Formats: sequence, structure tokens, C-alpha cells
Amino acid sequence: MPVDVTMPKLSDTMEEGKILKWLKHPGDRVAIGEIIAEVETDKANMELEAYDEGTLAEVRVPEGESAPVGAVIAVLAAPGEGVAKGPAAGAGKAAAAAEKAAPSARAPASAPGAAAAAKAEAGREPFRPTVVRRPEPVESRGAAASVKASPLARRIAQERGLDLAQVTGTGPGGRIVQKDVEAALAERGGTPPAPAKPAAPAEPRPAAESRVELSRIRRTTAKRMGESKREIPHFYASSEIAMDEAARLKEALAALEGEYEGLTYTHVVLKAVGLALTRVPELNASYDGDAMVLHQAVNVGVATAVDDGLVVPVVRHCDREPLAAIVRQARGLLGRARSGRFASDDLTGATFTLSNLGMLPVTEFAAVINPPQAAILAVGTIRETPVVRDGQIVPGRRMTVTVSCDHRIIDGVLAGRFLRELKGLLENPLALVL
Amino acid sequence: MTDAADYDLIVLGAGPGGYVAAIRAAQLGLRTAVVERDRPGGVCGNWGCIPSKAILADAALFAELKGGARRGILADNLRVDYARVIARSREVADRQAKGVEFLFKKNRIAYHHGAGQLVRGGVAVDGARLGGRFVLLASGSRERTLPGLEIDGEVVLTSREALERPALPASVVIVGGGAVGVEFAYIYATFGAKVTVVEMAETLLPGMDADLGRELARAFARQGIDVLTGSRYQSLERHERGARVTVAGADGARTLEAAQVLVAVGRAPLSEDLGLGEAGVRTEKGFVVVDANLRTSVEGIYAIGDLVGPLLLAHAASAQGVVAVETMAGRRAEGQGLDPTRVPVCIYCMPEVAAVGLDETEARARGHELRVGRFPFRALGKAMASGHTDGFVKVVTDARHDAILGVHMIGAGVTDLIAEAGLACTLEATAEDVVATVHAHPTMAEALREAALVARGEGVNV
Repeated sequence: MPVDVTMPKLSDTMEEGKILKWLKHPGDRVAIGEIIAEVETDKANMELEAYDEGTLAEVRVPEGESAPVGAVIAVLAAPGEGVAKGPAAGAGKAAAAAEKAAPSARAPASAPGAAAAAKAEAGREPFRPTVVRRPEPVESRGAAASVKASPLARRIAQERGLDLAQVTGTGPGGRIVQKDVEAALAERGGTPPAPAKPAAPAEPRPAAESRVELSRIRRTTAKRMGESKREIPHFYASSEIAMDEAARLKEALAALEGEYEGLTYTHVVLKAVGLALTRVPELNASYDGDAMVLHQAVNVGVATAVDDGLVVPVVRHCDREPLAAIVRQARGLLGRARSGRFASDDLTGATFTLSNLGMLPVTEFAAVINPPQAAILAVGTIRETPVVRDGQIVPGRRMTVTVSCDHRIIDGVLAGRFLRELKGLLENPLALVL
Repeated sequence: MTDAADYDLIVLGAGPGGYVAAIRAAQLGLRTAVVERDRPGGVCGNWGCIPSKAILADAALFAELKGGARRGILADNLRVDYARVIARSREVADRQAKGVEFLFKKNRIAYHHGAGQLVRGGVAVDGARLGGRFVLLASGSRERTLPGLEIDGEVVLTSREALERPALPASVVIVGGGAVGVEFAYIYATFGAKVTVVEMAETLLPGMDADLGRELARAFARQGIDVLTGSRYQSLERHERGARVTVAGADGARTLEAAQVLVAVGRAPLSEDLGLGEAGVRTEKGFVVVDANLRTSVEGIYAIGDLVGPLLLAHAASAQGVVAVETMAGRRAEGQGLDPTRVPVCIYCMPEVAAVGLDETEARARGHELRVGRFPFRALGKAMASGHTDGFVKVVTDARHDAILGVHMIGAGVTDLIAEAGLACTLEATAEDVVATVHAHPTMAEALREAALVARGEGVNV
């Protein structure tokens, strides 16, 4: 009995498939598991295997045309069954002959000479092109260790918080190489992630009632911030931090010049945030539908105002880089931000964001999370204020920080623990330089 | 291409590109023929890599013996029979050619001797027509020369003539300080000739990391070889004792007297006699234009090796041949061609020179923030013990990811050491991985690990 060959569902989202090429032609014998056609789906080019054996009797969808999932694209005649058309009409004899000539003696280019040539060279395996498989990304998660990847690809993926299980490898044997990781990163975040707070007023101010076209950066910001506030259930937690010791340390280090030249409170807070995140890693994470992805790298984006909006250059490894290295990184990023010439990965791979408005008279504020991160820290100005110490009222320096968290994966107690660590580090800041 | 295809693939040229491609094709089940107008092995086997390495090995042996006295190895009356050196080199080349012929037989590859030319549906060989579904152009290159330097085989030679000429000249001017120029400089100088190398660029070995050329010039100076960099050949005047060569440098023109002039100014593709124009195969400055999978502008026609440039290396041609054939057979994904930054370059004078990947200047130009680790062989136990302390290993890494961008070596045996660096690059190992690899002690290979340590700021023996 003839068997219908239907367009299979080759990916979750596939609705139709396009026949790129028939590798079997009417009259060809087909064994179970043999590749009979190449199909283009919404995700990739795939191979279509035969689930039954027999002789290809009829092709219903020609090369270059599409068919919906489930539609009959070809008809297979069972072994021994007569075939309506095609050269091998002789039933069982055809099958026997085909078997002797080894599977698929026809090259897809199907030069009439090729089949004859194969016959002439009997006993020798005929030229049979195979198709390079381009598998879909493996869907499993957290299996990074079992993924085949080069050491360099692993290092970049780890640093940028990329799950290798989501990357398709093109190296030998499907190995993930640097190129693949870079392609995946480019796909993930080609545009710089937008920051989480209103821009400093731009000069000159637009006249009332005028319509100002948004810059490309501003448009991205608008879209991302809208999405963030709509989708992410934010909650906020604040803490007041005594900055007297941190201020003394900063002044002392800045006086050393050299590698600490240009040291700012932002650098000091970056280092403290980096260390605090290693102690409360849940805030250095992303929500991903049914999983919480904990990032190993601690890369902190710093919301930075530029002429046409806001960018978030990324300071890498704030946990393990020494303070001087953070200063160096941040200075380089700031220089590139001012010249508007970022390097390709200056703006990607952040796992947490810092927004500091301390240079302006902002005592405290709450920032909007920069997806797919789970938290952002808003830093207010350091103010002189009377504080009570040993029963005496003395002048002190205080700074209010507010962390905004994604409540889908972070609960209030984690935010509290993070603030406790951050407060401890800034109030006893020697750990920041040790 | 044709209804009556005699072969799935016809390869034009049996050099290191063509013969390796043919064997790979046969392995994949393609009915394959090779057309060669000279003999199997190409320039590499007959007039390049292999015979020159035979002579270089003899030169190195002679140099070791000459320098033996300070190590307590005494030899009297040490001389060279240069005609025998050349004869042995030819014997090696002959064996190499026979070896390739044997491989054709073993893999049932048809071998046609004659000049092949593209025709519709295949290739014509001396009037006979072979039908083929695919054609692979692998005709290679020949030695270039400059105006006024007409090759006569007596006074003015290229490497081709020099490899056959059994007489050792008393003095030689070598025009060109690239791979061929420095190898012959070493050969002639070791066997006693007065040698001057004239190079246009500011360092020897232009195109490679400048530190290598500078170090080689220092080693050559110790060997008594005159190196004129930043100098351009201007004219040549033949006379009964040889030739007078005029050279222009930064400090004006000067004349050099020499019994022999060796022209080593590069190679030109052999693309004129293949019928490329009629077939519609696009070329640029004589080189055939190909895509990453080595396809030419005409469907079914592929090209590899020196014919497509710009690498002009035997092993690059072989690797490209495999890419081309696997593409024909549907076994190679689109765009998965040969990455030139993974192709090692080796030069076999003493000290040897070898490199893979980006040199320091290229790496900077590509915007990498670099770490550079250099380790001199003189700090290595094995180098001191074996008396080969010239040179160094230089590792260039990307500061951000520790990626190995390039490895550059000069010293004894580095043409073999570079294989480890090539493997590291292909596997995308980081400098940390090289450091984590235990290297046997004492070996010259320790220098690579030491250089990687230096790049990471963790140098031990320097």
C-alpha cells in the first residue's frame, strides 16, 4: 500500500516548510532513515528522513515550494509494489537491482552519465554527497559542562553571562568556537541595553510645543524601560550608609595619584557592589521564564549620560579586579563614551547596573531595572548630616542607596542582605583595597 | 557539466594542493583524474620545500661540525662536496615524486601527463578531451623576477636554477629577504660564500612579526652575512667574473660585486595557460578569485593554492584542496574555509623561523588590547645544553580573554615547535591552557609555555 510522506514539524514554531532539494527522485529506492529531501524551516535547514521503506513513487511538492505541516509532500510505494511512473517500474526486480547497486546511486545533480558511471565502476562505493547537518540549538539548560566548546568560547560565554547550551556550534564535530559565541552575543544584545533613570537635562532645552525626534539610543531606552516596568514586578529597598571612612579612603587613595588618579565615589561603590554581589549572588542573576540564571561573572553596567541619551558601559569583574583596575576600566569606558566610540563589547554583558546621581542634589531615588538583569542600584548624594555617636551629636557623611529588584526571583530578605553587605563594605572600606 | 563525464573531478596540477585534493576526492568516492605537465610533487616536491630542505640539512650539519671545536669535537680538513649535496637533494626530490605517483595508483586516481586546459565540460590534455563534473585548478606558481634581472642560469638565477646548479659561487648577492632569500643566504654563507642580502623593507622577512626579522638579521651578522634592509635593487651589469649590482638605500646608492645573483622576489601564479579567459573564470592580477569554499566565478570550477594566493604555502594549498573537494561532495558547510590566521609559516635557515596567527602589529590594528610574552632560548636549559641559544618565542594574547592571537618563534627546531602553537590556536586554547599543559623538561618546547607565562605576568625563568 502506498504511504504518504507528510511535512513534519521540525521545530516548535514551524508552521510550514520549504523543499530546498529532493535528494530522492521518483523511482529511487528509499530505506528507513535515509535522507530524502532538504527542508527549510523557520529556524534552519533540516534533513527529511524516510520513516518507511519503499520506492519513491511521486513527488507532490516541487523544489523551491512550501507546504504546511502535515501536508502530503510525496508518496512512497511499499517494497514489491508497482510504481506508476519512474524508470524502475519492474516491482521486485527493481528493488533487487537497486540493492545491488548500493543505496542511492544517483548524485543529486543527477547527471545522466553518473548513474551509468556508477554501474561501470561496480563494487566501488559511488559518489554520494551527504548534507552537512545544522542542528537546532539544544534546548536543555544548565548543561554547559557537557557542551562541546573551546576554552576560549567558554571563557567569553562565562564572562558575558551566555548559556552555551543555547549556542549552535560550527566547529569540528559541532564544537562551539569563539565565532559562534560572538554571533550568539550579537543576536542577544546588538543594541546597548538602556539605563534605568531619567536623563540629565539636555542642553539646549527644546522650545515649548516643539516636536523633537528621539535619537536611536533614546528610542531603545523608551522601549526597554516601558517593557521593564510593564513586565517586571519591581520592589525597592533603601539603606543609609555612613560614608565617613569611604570618603577618607577615597581622599587618601586619590592623593596617591598614579593608578588611582581620577578615583571617584562611583569606582568605590562599583568595587563594593562587586564584592557584595559575590556574597549575595541571587542579585547577580536573570529571570528566564522557568529558571533563575545565576551569572558567574560580576559585570556592572554604569548608567552614563551622553549627548543623545544614556548608555550603560560595562565594568567587568568588579568582584575580582582590584580597585585600581576598575578605575582604569571605567576611565577607558568614560573616554570612549565621550568620544562616542565604544568598542564592540563595551556595552554588552552587564549582569547588574549602577545608577549614581550623587553628583547632583539627589538625596535618593529608585531606578528601573535594566532587563534581563534582576536588580539595579540607585545611589544618591553624600550629604553632611548631624549624627549621634557615643551620645554626642557630631557631623557625619551619609549616602542613601536604593536597590530595585525583580520580585519574580528576588525576595525582600535577599535585597536586605545585599544592602547589609554593601553597607558593611562601604563603612569598613579597607576590604575594597585588600 | 556534461552528459559524458569521464570523471567526477579533474585536478589540474599534482603539487601539494592538487595531489592531496585528489586523494581526498578518491576517499569520498569521486572518480578522480589528475593532469600534470611536469611531474607529481609540484614545486614543493621538485623545486622548493623538499629539495631545499635536503640542502639546508646538509648546511646545518656542516655548520655544527665547523663549530664543533669549542665543544670538543675536532675534525680536520672539513670540506664540502657541493655537487654531492645537490645530487642528494635531487635524489630526495625524485623519491618524493615517485611517492606521489604511488599514492595515485593506490587510490585509483587516473594520472594524465600533459598540459591541461579548461574546455567546455572538462579539460583538454594535449588535444585529448576529458569530461569532468568538477574541475579543480591547482597549477601553482613560478618564480618572479625583476626588469634587468633576466634569468640566465649562470650568473642570474632563481631558486629553481640554484637548486640544480652543482657549483658553489664564491660570492652571491641575494635580491629579496623573504623566506627563499634567507634560506639560500644561510646555505651559501655556511658553505663559504660571501653573501649579501638586499631587502626593500625595513626588516628581513617582511610580512612577519618585525621582531623575527630583526633577530634573524642579528644572527646573520654573526654568521658573516651582510644584510641590507631598506634597500632597493636598481640595476645589474654583467661582466666576465659575474655581475655588478647597484642598490639604493637610505644613505644613497652602492654597488656590490658578486659571482652570482639570486633573485628571490616572490612568486607569480601560473594562470595564463589554463584557458581561464575563455571559460569565464575571473582573475585579479593573475590570481584566480575564489570564495571561502574555493569556488571560482564559474560553477563547477574550483581553484586552490598559489593560484589563488595570497598564502603561497604548500600546506595551505593542501588544506584548501580538502575544503574544495569536501564542498563538491557536500561535506563542507558554507563559509567553513581555511582560516589564514591558523596557517603556520616556517622558514628553515638557522636559526629557524616559524609563526602562526596575528603578529603584534596586525593584532593591534584589529583593536585588541594585547599582552605580549617573550621568552629567550638562552634562558632555557635544553637550549644551553645543545648549544642553540639564538632566538626566542613570542606569544601575543588578547588581554581581555587570554586568547592566543599569534605565536612567533625564532631558534633551533622552531619549525617543529610551531605545531603545538597551531594546535592551541585551532582548539582556541587560552594562554592559561598552554600554561596548564605540562611540558617535558628539558625540551625546547618549554619555551612556548614560558612565553605564555610571561604574557600572563607569571614568568618563572626570566
